[in-house]
Amino acid sequence: MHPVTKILVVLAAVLAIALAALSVAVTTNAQRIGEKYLDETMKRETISATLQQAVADSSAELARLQTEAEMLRQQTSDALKEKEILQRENNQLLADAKTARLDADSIQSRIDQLAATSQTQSELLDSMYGEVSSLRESELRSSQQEIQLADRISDLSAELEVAIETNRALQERLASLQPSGGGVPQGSRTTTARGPVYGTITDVREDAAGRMLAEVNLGSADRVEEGMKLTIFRGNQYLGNLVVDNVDLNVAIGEVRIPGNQSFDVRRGDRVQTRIR
Amino acid sequence: MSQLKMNLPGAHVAMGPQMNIYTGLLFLAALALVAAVAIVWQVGASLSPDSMPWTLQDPNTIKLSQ
Repeated sequence: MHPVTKILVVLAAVLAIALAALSVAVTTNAQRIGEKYLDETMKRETISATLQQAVADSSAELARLQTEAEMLRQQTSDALKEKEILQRENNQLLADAKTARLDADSIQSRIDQLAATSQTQSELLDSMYGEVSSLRESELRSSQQEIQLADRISDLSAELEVAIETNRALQERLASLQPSGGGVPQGSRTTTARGPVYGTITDVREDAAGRMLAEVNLGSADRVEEGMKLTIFRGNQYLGNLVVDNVDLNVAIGEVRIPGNQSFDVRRGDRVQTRIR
Repeated sequence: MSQLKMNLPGAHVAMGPQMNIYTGLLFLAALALVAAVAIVWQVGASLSPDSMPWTLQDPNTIKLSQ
């Protein structure tokens, strides 16, 4: 065999082996790629169906969202209108608030003024209260002094009347001591023309209320009237007063009033006289 | 002498193997195999993950060379 022929035989064998190995590898890769392609195709179809479903859902959702967006636009429009209205109301309220704030400041200033006035009035009331209290105390003291002075005047008046009566009695006695004169008997009553009327206590007793009552031998015939105050004396001593309660023609009954803290025992036979008018 | 590949003049000239038709056919077959290997190499390189025709694809992860 020619060497060239041998070389060609060897070369052909080697090439055949290499071709066989390459064919096995290429066939295996082609098979795996094809299987993978089928899987991917199925997956793609599945995904495509899912995507179509998703697209349909998205379309429905989009329609719903468009409807909702339209509603929201309408609501937004309404809200804007309401916002404008509220804005105007807010402006009005702000203006009112400003006015109210000014009014509040004015009222506060008035309140401050009134508080100051009230404080001043309170102080004035306190001072007036103090003055009224002092005036009341001084008035009370004056009333007490007046009462004391009235009692004193009454006592002095009674003593003066007693003194006048004593003087008159002395004059009568002096007149009776004269030869042609006649005296006034003790226990009788004497009625002068315009002067006082003299009488005698005929009975002394107490009534149910504990008042000391005295009966005198003077009555309406002697110009004695109810409420008249008679002076009671014994000799030259002033004893007290008799306020007439009941008057008969020749008899009168009255309450014995002894002034001050004196304690005289008025008894039958004491003399009484009407006050000088 | 003949063992030394020398021939004496007048002697019978020894004739070696000659190329014949089979040599030509083998040559053509070798050319065809070379062409087939080249084509299959290119196709295998395009189907392999790393441009080497004899590298097999992973069944779970198909990867093609650029």
